[in-house]
Amino acid sequence: MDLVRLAKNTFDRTERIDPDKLRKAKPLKNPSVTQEITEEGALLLIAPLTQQGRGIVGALAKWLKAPDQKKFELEPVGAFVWNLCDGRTTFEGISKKLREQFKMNRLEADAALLAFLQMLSQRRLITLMVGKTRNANPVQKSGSSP
Amino acid sequence: MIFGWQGFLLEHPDDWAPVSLSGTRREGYARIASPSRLSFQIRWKESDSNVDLQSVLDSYIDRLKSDAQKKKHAFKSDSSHEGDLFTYRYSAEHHGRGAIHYSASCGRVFFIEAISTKNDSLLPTFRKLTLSFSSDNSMDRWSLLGLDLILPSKMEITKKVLQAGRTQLVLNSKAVQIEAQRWGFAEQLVSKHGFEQWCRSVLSLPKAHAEVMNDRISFRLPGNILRPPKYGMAMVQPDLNQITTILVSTRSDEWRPQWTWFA
Repeated sequence: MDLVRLAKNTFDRTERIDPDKLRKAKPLKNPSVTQEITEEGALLLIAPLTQQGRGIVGALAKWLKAPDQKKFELEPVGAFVWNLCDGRTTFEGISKKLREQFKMNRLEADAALLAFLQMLSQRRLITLMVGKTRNANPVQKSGSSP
Repeated sequence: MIFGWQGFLLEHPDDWAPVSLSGTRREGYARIASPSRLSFQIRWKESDSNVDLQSVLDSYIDRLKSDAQKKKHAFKSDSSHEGDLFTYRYSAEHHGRGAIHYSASCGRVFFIEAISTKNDSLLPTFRKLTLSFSSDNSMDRWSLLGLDLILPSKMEITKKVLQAGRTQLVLNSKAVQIEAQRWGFAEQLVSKHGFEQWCRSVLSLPKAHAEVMNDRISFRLPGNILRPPKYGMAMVQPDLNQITTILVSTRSDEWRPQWTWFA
């Protein structure tokens, strides 16, 4: 089990973020992600896929005309958070607006927001910006496409 | 905001929240934390009425001292008592100010303590929270994270789920099982699924007889030889954007749920 953890820590390139830094982090949308409103009124995120795999897998994907974009449908609460991922509003600020809008308590707003932002970050739809300066390194490396 | 748990209750600031809950009615621990360094903890244990509070306090202080010594922290403490109330404070890795008292009505000793990781002034917090503390109630108030119910006393918790947007407690006694839930995002849930339909699904009562009254709904499903009757109740609270539900399984008429259970 320890070996598994060691291997995971060695190869996991995701930087751990401490809670104080997280509260000041500013989520920023990936500029290559576009959005549209569905007929049902839900928010649809469309993220381009620049890479379909390499070698045989890539050729096969091209031959099978695999989609070159990925779509994510957001519920109203998710859409509300997504619209606040503008690189200016902090995690704390989004949490406060969530509490006001949906009358959530602090603990559940923070927990739900953290889980949602992690999910968006893993799918490379956002980057969490930390630090005082504009040139600060993002917490997670984000490519030009998800 | 009220925090009610295992037969006691206290009032805490709105941005504080319970972060640790363990044990049973006989013996347990709860901690309520602020967004900053301050928190408030309560320990309780069933005891005889002739319990020696001074020796209970001394052994607690000794334990804190021994923990501090193990971690090589300097330890200071002092205590005093007025009548039945013993107060104390200490400083080590954490700083604490607390009181210990015996509640004759529920037969338990309570430690109530404000703590901080730095040398903040704990007296105002301690006073405020201690003054609102009460354990002498004929009914038990179960109040945390938006769920707020007043139920007949001495029920035991068999399950608790504390998730973002959902709080669930399952309580049991000999004649009854009560499952209480609080769901956030009421407006969004009701507009997407419809109130009655959503309640039927959450309470697993698809074929029960329903009575709808504005923001409230009640269900009744007759029992049989194998299964006791089930009673469901749900209430939308638009001001809190939440829905509270109760599902009761019982053969006893005494335990039929009532709207007065919703605080």
